[in-house]
Amino acid sequence: MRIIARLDVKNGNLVKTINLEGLRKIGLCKEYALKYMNENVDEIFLSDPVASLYDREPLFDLLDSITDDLFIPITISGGIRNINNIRRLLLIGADKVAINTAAISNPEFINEAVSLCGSQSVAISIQVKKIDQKWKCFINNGRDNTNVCLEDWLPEVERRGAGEIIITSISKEGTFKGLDIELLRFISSLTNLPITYSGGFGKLFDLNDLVKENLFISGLAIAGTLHYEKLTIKEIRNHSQRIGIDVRKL
Amino acid sequence: MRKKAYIVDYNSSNVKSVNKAFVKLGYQIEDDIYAIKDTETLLIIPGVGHFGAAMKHLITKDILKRIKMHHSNGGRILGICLGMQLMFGSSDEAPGISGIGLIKGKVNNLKHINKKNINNYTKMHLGWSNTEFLSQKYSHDMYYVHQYFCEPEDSSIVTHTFSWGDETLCSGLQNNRIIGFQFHPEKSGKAGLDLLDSI
Repeated sequence: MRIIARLDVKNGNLVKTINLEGLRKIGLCKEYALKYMNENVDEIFLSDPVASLYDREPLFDLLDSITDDLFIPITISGGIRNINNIRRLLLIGADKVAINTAAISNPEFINEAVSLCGSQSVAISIQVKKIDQKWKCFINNGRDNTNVCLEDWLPEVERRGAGEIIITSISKEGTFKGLDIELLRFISSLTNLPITYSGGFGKLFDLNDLVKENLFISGLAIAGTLHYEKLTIKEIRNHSQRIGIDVRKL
Repeated sequence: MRKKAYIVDYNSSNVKSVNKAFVKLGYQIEDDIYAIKDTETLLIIPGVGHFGAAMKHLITKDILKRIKMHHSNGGRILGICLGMQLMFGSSDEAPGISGIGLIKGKVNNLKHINKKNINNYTKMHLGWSNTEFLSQKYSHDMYYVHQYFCEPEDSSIVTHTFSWGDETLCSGLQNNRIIGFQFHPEKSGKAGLDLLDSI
């Protein structure tokens, strides 16, 4: 399991949301990215969560400045609309792009991106919430329900060639109340793609649920728990190792 | 004197990451492959992409000849990921297409390796994996993204290995002035930068 620091960005500042709503400013994004690299995080996930909503460009300049000094894998999301966006982000130093809004509104975009950049560079970001017993996919940082069902969308994303799923549980996000085990159980039967999960991780013991339920995730994207220094990357790595989750050895 | 490097650009997505890593290490990055002094400049072939497309680019832009000349004039070459695979004569990925051909051996698809004992098997090797540094008898996790792997004919040139299922495969080599890494040192944190600094 990769331990991933998730940095949500607004105007170059690191911000934090709760249930993907409201933005609280924490500090300069680049400083946090470098701090986490020095603490041996496995990957950085950099996101402008409302770029599509406000019709903003992806974070080209911020990414360019961060990758001058960041020598670990970095995934970027927010406002990616076309192939030129992707090509430019990869050239600046992103290893992967994560697409949500543009993929749901035009699924063919996934095929196009994969054929040009390879599966390994194309992740699909999915934000979900259970409504009337159905997992529904949202866009615009949890604001808008697309009415697309997760059980339809996930296999389609896989069929179209994406290399990874980054899934956020909207109702757990920012709550520190534990992982959405029900969601993880549900998706484990739906896809063979590597899953990066985000939302609700607040204490070491939350990881034990993964082991107990025999659930495997490829990555855990962590925001508030790291930013508010509730836990360190080292503590998370050591605990994972102790309970039998395969993590990078240092 | 500052160390010098030239990075071959063939539209591969990680050229800039490699560039930034060598800038960080204090290298002067040169921008004209015809102006470099062969014995002074480390010629770097980075790479994420397709073997066939990369070779086509090297040939049509006339870079292939310059790479071979650099080598025969005593220059050093570093290949990263696809860049290491390009040093071989051919690859499973693009049958019938000739590689640079400076290293004898084969480039095969990971799918031919017995996957019986691989947990959570994926067709792509992606992520941080334990890597043996053979000469130092030490190991470190490095970052990999690839589907094909190198099998040099002369196993004595292998410097780094990783495990795939039951097999131990080559992920680093050094043959006189040619160095290759299958993993991405430029994305492997401090251990990766230290490795690049040591070459």
